[in-house]
Amino acid sequence: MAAARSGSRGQSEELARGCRHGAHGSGGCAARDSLASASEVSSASVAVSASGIEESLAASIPALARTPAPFRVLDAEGRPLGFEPDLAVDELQALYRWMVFGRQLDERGLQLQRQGRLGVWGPMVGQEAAQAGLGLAMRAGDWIFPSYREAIVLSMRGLELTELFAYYRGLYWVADPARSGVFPVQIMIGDQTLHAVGAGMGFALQHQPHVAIAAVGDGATSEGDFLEALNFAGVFNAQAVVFVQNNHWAISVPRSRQTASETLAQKALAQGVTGVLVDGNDALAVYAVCHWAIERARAGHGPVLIEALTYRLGAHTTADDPRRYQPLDEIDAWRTRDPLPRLRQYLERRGLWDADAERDAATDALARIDRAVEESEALPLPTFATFLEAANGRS
Amino acid sequence: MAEAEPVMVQAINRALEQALAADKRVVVMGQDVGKLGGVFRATDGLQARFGAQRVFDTPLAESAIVGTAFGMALTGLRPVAEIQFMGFLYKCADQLVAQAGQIRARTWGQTTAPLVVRTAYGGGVRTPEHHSDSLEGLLMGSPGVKVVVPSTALEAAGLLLSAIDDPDPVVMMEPIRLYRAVHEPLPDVLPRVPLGLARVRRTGTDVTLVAWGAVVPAALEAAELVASADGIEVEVIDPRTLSPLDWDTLEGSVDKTGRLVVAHEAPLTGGPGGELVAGLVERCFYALRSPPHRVAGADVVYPPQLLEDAYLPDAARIAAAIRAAMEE
Repeated sequence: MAAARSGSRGQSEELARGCRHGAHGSGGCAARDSLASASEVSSASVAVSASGIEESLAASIPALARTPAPFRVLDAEGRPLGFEPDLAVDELQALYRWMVFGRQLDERGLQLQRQGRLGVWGPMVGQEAAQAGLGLAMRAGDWIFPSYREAIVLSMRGLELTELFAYYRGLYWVADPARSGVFPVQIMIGDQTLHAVGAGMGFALQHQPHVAIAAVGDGATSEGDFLEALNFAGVFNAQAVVFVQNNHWAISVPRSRQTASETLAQKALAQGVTGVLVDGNDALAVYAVCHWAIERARAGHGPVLIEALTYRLGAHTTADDPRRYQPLDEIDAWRTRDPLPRLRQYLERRGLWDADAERDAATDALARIDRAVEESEALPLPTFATFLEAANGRS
Repeated sequence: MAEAEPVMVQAINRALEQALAADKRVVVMGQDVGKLGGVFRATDGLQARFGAQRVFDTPLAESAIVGTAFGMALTGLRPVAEIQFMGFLYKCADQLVAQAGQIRARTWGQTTAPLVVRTAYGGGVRTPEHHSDSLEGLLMGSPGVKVVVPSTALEAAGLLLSAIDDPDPVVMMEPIRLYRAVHEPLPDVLPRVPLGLARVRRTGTDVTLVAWGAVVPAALEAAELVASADGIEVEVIDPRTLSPLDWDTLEGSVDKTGRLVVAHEAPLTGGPGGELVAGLVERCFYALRSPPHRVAGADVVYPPQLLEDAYLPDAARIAAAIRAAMEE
C-alpha cells in the first residue's frame, strides 16, 4: 500500500512539474521526463497521462494550484475550451438525455409531493450535469453511497424509478443494493463517506476491480466522518471516490459559513488524498474528472475527492422555504449558468441534437416517470409484521 | 504442565486466530492491533501470522473504524474491529447503531452488516477516567445491534466465533477485570457458543440471580456465601447475550424460584436491570414471592479509580440483596 501511495504522490509531483513547464514553453518536457523516471511514477499514471487530461487538470488541484480554477471542458455557451473527453456519439446523447430526464423528474417530483403522492422530494434542478457526469463515468460493479439528492445518477446506475418513488412515498429501500450497486440514500449527513471508503478498502483487500463512490453535499464536508473517511482513504489507498456536489447551500446555511477553506477540494490535501475542483454545471468536465478519478482509484493509484461546483436552484426539500434566506440575485446569476443549454448547444453545434430530439427526450422521460409513479402506487403496502420480520431477521 | 492454562484474553486471541485461519473473509482491525498485539494483547501475534492485509492498525478514529468496517462488511468481508475501551464507544455510536445496526431494516433484510466490535469494558482495575464504562444499557436500547458479554475464557472464545459468523453487527463487551483473572483449559478446536442462549452457572431453588461479565464471579461468590451462612440456594444465570435476551431460560428459573435479583455494573437508572426485572415481572408475576431487587452501579458518572470499589457490585452487596429477597 505504501508503494502505491508514493506512486500517486509521484504522479502529483509530475503533474505539478508538467503544469509549470507547460506554462513556460516546451523546454521543460525533457526535464520533466527525466524527473518522472527518477521518481516512482506508476504505469497507470502513464496510462492516464495518455488521455491528456493532466495538463488541463493541474490548475484545478489545490496541491498544485494556489487558487484552483474549476476544471472546464465547455465554456458557458458550450464551446470546447481544449481538452474533450473521449465519448462516443451515443454516450454524449445519453448524457444529455439523462439531464433532460432529471429535469422532468424534478418537476414531476415537486408536483407529486404537492399532491400528497410523495412524502418528500429533494429538488435537483440546476445540478443535472454534476449527477449525469458522475453516472456516465461509473462502470458495472461500481457502488454508490448517495445522499438524498441523486436521483439522476441512481437511475443511471440501474435503480428502478418505481423503487425510488417507493422510498420517497415513505417505504424503506425496496431495491436490493447488491443488484445495482446503489445503496440506500443517506439521511445522516456525511456518514456514507466512511461506507464508500470502507467498501473501497474491501475491494482493494479482495483485489476486486470495483470502485465505491460517496456522493455528498457541501454541508457534509464539515462532518468529522467526512474528514476521517478521507484520512482512512489515504492511509489504506481505498478504491474510492468522494464526490461533493457543492450546491452552495446546506438548507439555509451558505457555503461561506460552512468552512473558511477557499475550496472544499483542498480538504483532501491535508488528508494525503488528491482533490480536484470541477465546474459542476459542465457535464463533460464532470464526466472527464469522474472518469479519471474512478479509473485511477480502480487501478489502485489512490482515492480522489472531487468538488463539483454547482447551485441548488430549488428548495432543500419540499419542506423548506428558501425565500427566507437565498438571495434572489444569486439565484438569477446561477440560472444563467443552466447546465442543460450548455451541453445542448455543444451537441447542436456538432449536429448531434435538435428540437425533435429535445421533444422526444422530454416526452420519453415523462412517460417513464408517470409509469413509475403508477407502478409505485400500485405496490402493495407491506404489513408491519413483514417489516418486523425483515428488520429483526434471525438468519 | 510447564505452561499455565490460558486466561480469557488468550482465549480471545486463539478464537481470532481460529477464525482468521478458517475464513479468508475475516479481517482484524483497530488501533494498536498490529505489532503491539492490542493494548490487552488480544491480537498478539496475529499480524505476524496472517499479514498486515488481514490484521491491521488503523488511524486513531473510532467512528471511522466502525464506519469503514461496515463498508468492508458490505463487500463480503467479516471485519472484527477493536474499540479499545467501551467508554470510547460514544465516538462511534452513530456508525454502529444508526448505520451498521439499521441497514438490515432499511433494506428489508436484503443487506446485512456482518461485523464485530470487540471492546473492553468495566471497572475494577484502576484505569483512568473513560476507561471503565459499562454501556450495555445503551446498546440494549438500540435495535439492530447484538450484544454479548463473556464471563469465562472458553465462552469468550465461543461467543466471539459465533459473533463473527453472525450476519448482523455484534458488540462483544470484554470484561477487563476478567481478562487475566482465571486460567482455564481450552480444547484444540474452540467450540462456538450460540448467541441468545443463557447459561445456568449454578442451580438453586430459592432465588434467581442474573449477572454477566465481570459481575459473575461476585455473583457466584455471593451464592456460596448465602448457601453456607443462610442455607439459601441461589440459581445463578449468566445471559451471555444481552441482546437478544434468552427469556425462556430466565422465565423458567424465576417461575421455579419465585425470587429475582439482577446485578450489574452499569448505572441503575435506565440500566439493563430495569429491563430484566420488568420483562420477568410481566412473564412471571404470579410466581413471584417477593419484590425483585437490583444491585447496580450508582446513578453517577463512573467514579475516579481510587473510589471505584464503593461503586462496583461485590459479593457482599449481592448477598444482602439475596437475603432481602428471601426475607420479604
